[in-house]
Amino acid sequence: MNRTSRVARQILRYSVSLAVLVTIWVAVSRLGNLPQFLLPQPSSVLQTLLTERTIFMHATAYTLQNAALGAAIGISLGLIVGVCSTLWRPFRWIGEPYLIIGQSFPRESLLPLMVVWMGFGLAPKVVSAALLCFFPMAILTASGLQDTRKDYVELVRSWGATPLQELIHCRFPAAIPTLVSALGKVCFPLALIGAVLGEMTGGGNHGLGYIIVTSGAVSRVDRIFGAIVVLGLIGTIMLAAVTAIQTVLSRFNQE
Amino acid sequence: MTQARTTPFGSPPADSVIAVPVLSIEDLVAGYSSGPVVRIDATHVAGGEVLALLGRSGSGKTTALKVIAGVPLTSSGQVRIDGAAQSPAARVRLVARTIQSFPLLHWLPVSGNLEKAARIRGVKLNDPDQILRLFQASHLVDRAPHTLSGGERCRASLSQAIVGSPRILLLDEPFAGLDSWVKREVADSLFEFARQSNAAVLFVTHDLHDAVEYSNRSAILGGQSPSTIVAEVDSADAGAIDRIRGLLAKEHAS
Repeated sequence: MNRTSRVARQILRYSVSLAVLVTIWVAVSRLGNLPQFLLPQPSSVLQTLLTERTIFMHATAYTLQNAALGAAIGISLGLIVGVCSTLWRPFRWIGEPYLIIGQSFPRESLLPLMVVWMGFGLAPKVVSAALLCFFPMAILTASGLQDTRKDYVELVRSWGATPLQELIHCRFPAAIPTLVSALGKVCFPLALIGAVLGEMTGGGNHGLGYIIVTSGAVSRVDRIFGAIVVLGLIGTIMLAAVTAIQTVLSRFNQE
Repeated sequence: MTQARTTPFGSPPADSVIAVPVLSIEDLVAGYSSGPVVRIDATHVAGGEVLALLGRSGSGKTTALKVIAGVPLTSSGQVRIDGAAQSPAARVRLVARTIQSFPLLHWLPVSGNLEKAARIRGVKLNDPDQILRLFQASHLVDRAPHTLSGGERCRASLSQAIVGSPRILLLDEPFAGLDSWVKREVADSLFEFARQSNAAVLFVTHDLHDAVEYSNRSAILGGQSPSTIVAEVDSADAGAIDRIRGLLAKEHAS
């Protein structure tokens, strides 16, 4: 009861934000007397989305598929690297500088290189999504697994736990909230960004990023806005799902 | 004072001192890379006996517990359990130790913590309730750690520690922050555990009243670094409290 009302309140809140945004949008385009090719009305964006829904659906599926593939690769590798650097000191010693540099480095600048190396197909988009989410995942996994409360570690060691048991039975479960928030709030959004950027820089002729780039060239601003609306929707759904998972988890995770 | 420390189970039987002690420490020196912290030349704890360890802050009480429990520290000397010298790795299996903060894995209920302890220790745990009952804690079996009060947490933590029937139970300030009647109950449970399983119990405390009331014997750590056991006082002695107070005061002054 309490929970449903809390969810309802959040939905209301986001709806109001959306309504305010649309109102401002309409007001600016009407009052400023802006032509449709600069700032289309929300209604015409919606119209474009409806009439070209097949195009948008295919593009969305393509982008989501690349983002999901990239996320799967980036997150898995990030987890592996994070676990290895927790278990194995020399690995951490050598690997950590790469992670820190990779994290602060604008990885998007590597995307044209991916096109040169991998062509115009799926690969550079997936790699771009993976590249963007790998570094934060590795860093957050490593810090999540290494920041376990000292007394918890001492406890499982007092049971005679091996380093691997310590990881499985103590460090990993203790880090689950950190890992979920790393996944949901950092890695998934970055994978989506990576996929779209890959489509924008990487040639090819598919995806929401492709729609955005090509529509700009032919002054189809309504289609750009259409793609932006779809991306915003995906982001919101992702955030809602992650928040729901975190709410469920938090009930099992009070210290 | 003699009445004060009498427990429902009485003092350990007189012959336990003659039998092979459960815990024997010989020439044990332990510390960190910065240097030795504590030195114990010879101390024996019999089965069923409870020894209190006192000393000012930084006198190496916790370090002593850690090294006996087999935590890898810089150490030399011997720890014998039931007469046989045991390596640190072997001691981890034979010795249980509670940690000052009484940690319990918060994502598991009390029973889950006991089961996890059993699994990692590699022992079978048929019934967590059986262990909890020893500390009057059966009702805590399904509780989440964050719902436990201080006294309940202490009982759950002690229960978790004795999974696998350790030969030696080491407790780091088990009575800190507990009400006096809870202390009494927990202490009685400890005596009961020690008596039933013929285990040796060692507990660290800052409180000399607790030491005399809840142990058979008190050892005072002191002296210059590394600190050593400067005296052992039988809790049953008349004036034990005054003697310990005097010894501690001397340590503080030095």
